[in-house]
Amino acid sequence: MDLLTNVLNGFSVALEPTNLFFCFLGALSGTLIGVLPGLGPLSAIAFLLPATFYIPVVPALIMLAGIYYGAMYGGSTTSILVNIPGEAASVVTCLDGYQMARQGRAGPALGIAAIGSFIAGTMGVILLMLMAPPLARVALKFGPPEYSALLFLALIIVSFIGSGEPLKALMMVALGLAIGMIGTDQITGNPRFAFGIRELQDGVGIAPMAIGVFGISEVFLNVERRERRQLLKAAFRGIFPSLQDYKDSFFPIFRGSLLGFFIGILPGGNPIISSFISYGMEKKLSRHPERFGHGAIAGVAGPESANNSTTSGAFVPLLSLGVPNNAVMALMLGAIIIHGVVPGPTLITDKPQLFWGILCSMYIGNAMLLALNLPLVGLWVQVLRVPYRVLFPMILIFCLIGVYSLNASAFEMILVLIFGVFGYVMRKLDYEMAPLIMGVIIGPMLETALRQSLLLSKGNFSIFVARPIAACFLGIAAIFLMRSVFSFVRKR
Amino acid sequence: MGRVVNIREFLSAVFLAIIGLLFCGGAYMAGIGSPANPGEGFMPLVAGAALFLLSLALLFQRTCSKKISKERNPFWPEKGSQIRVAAVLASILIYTFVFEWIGFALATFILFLFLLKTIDPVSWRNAFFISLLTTVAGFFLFQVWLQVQLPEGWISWWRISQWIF
Repeated sequence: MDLLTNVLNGFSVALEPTNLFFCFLGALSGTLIGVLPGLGPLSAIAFLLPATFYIPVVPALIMLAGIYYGAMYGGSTTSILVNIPGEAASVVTCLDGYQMARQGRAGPALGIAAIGSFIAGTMGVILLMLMAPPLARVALKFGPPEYSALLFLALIIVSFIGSGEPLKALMMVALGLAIGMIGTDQITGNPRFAFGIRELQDGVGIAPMAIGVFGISEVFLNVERRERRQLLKAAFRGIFPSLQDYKDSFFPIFRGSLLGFFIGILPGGNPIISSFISYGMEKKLSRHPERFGHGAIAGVAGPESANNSTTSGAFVPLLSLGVPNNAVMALMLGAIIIHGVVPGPTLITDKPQLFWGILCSMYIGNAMLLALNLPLVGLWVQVLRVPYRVLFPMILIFCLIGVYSLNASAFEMILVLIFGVFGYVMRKLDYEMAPLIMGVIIGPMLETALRQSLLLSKGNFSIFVARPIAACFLGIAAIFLMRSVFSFVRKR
Repeated sequence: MGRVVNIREFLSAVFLAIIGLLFCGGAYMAGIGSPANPGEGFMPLVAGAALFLLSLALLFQRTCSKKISKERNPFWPEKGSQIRVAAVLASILIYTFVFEWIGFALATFILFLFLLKTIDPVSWRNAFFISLLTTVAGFFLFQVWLQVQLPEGWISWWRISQWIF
């Protein structure tokens, strides 16, 4: 009964005209970002972050969430039509989606991607509604030691689950933690590492840093090469899949939705991982695995559903524990903190309109995306024709003016450039930027929890192993670290 | 013969190790405190030391690994890549410095025109049209809709309207 009342309240928030508008704007921009190669949801959310400061927290988060799941929808379009994934989670869609397009079945491929994403998004939202509140109730029992152990675990797992080397990811986490320490000390109120620079006394802003390492560095990486993109000439006829297509896709969509959601909950779980696992799983379960890679519709339906429901799953730890499990969620957390809302297990009870409003808006957003993607697929194909050489100056201006708009400070624009160059060089050297941003955002939270724990235990570090939940989190983190050490020793 | 270490990785690890050491030094000066009463420098010390040790671990791993590491890919993927990246970086750096002085409109228009004509050139007509359109759109988005106070500099929209009317 409680759930029903909360859901109804959530819908009343989500259906407010302003929230509806920002939900639509988020879904639309997300699709656009997903469609355009060279612009992923992470960099897009980073450079749109400043724009959200001018709107209240509920519509701001509704819009950012819309961008995230919208990009998953849009990403499939470029994978299917051009064989270039609009964003990383759609890489696997290229395998069968593009083959379907070459066989003249681009329409059903796009159709099943959109329908599968809608079903997955809906299932994800329902599971999120059911899982987040009980988890938050459990998390209310967490004290500073449990919280520090959980944050530590999140950082460790993010380093090990990424696509790069764990050691390099750990280095980025440590650097992020160090950068997160710049600014006023949260307990004493004294400035640290600010070198007398006024702008640094509040710390290195999340927006300039995220825009730099994700947005600007992405532009540098893309302008390195001259653009060579060809749109598939064999256009599509009709977007609705046949009855056989629906039959072949039913279980892949269902399995992908469940798998994606649970991968989304895990620290470090992201749509890229879920889409690849889903593809592998479908190929293994299929009666005709030989068809995979040659235009099997299950190879589109499963991964597309999985990557979409992962976005819903990722909201579980963010909204119920206040712990982001990937870089996009870290930016969302940044947006929550900047708006003065305290993240954590009390969010659901303290700000029910925020929690339930976002959840219900995600459902509405998924319906909007279905309407945006199926009938307007022709329009998105036209968007694909916008050349990157015209697009990147716009991205640059958006990044720079977006940052300037925060404090009317040219210093922050310079900070963006510094982080942009740093991100560009480090990405070329195979260092991932997601652990860095996670470190920056989690750093101050971890510091507060750690210092509170030590004050509580009068300096006795055994508090972290004496409490079962904290010990359990630290034990898992230790397993990850030891595994890496053993693997190195074995290789030698 | 010594092992061949990827020089770029070596330099990046040394750079990060130095950053780690700098944070440790800064943390020491800020005051580390004691475990019972951690000071302002406690967490920066932990982070700096972790960065330093992990960087050393990377160096150790690369020098002790059985696999001989070599430069896998060229740093610049194409001929002219460095020029394109440098042009973009230089132009946005100049933009950042002159933006407040000459104003949003003129700086943005010139930046657009420059990028559209140099990186992967489009025709002058298209470059001019896109630059103008985006500058006006940017003005409406930031100044009118989001109410951001953009620097007016030499050419303010007020002055333009004065000239026109």
